[in-house]
Amino acid sequence: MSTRDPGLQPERTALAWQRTGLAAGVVAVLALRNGVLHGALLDLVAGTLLVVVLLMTFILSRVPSGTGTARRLLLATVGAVVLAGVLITVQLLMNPA
Amino acid sequence: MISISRKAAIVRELPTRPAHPQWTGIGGWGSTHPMSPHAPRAAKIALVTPRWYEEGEEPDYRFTLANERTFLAWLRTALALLAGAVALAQLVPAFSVAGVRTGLAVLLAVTGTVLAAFSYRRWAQVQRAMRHGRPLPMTWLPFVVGVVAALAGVAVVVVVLLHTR
Repeated sequence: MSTRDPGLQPERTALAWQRTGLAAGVVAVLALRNGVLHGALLDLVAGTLLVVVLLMTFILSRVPSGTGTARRLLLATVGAVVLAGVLITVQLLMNPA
Repeated sequence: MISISRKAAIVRELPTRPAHPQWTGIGGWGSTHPMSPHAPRAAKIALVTPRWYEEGEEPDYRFTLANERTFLAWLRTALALLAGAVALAQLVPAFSVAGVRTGLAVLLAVTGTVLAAFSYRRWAQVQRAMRHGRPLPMTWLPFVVGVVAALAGVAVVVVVLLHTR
C-alpha cells in the first residue's frame, strides 16, 4: 500500500513480540538447565513449553494487521506462560533448596 | 463523547474500516476479523468469541497495536520474574537464613505467574474501553509489581547484612 504509518506501529509491535519471545527463551534455558542437571521433570516441561512460545513468536512474528493480533493467539501465549509458571512454582516447592 | 448504553452499542454489521490485507503475520493467522480469509464461520465466532470483542467500534489500529505492545510488556515483566525465580534457586548459593532463598524464589514465581494471567485481562479491559470510547480503567498491576520488587529488595538487604556480620 502507498500509505505507510510514519510511527511504524506494526513494525514496533512485531519487534515487541520478538523481545517477548527472547524473554521466554531466557526462562526456557534456565528451566531446561535445571531439568537436565537435576532431573527436574516439571522444569523440563515448562522449558519445552517456553521454547514453543519462542519458536511461535518468531515464526508468526511478521508485521501485524490493522486489527491487531488475534485474541486467541494472545490467549494461547498467556496460557503457555501461565502453565510454565505454575510448573516452575510447583518444582520450587517440591525441591526446596 | 456520546454515552451509549452497552446494549445499544452492539454492532452486528461489518466494521466500517477494513483490515489492511497487505499486513498479514500474527494478525493474519487465526484472525477473527470478518474480512480475514482465516476468519472462522459466524456461528463459531458467537460460540467462542466474547461479546465485547464485537461491541462498539473498532479502534484506530495504532491504539490497538499500542495496547498489544503494552500487553507484551507486561508479559515480559512476568517472564523476567520467572527467570529471576529459577535463577535464584539454581545459581545463588543458599543464604545463611534457611528457607529465605526458596521463599523469595516462590514469591517471584507466583507473582510472575499471576502477572502473566492478568496481562491478558488488562489487555481485554483496555481493548473493550477503547471500543466504547471510554476512559481506560485503572489498574493495580504496577502497584503489585512495585510491592513485590520492594519486598525482594528488603530480603536481599537483610541477607547481605546478616552475611557480612
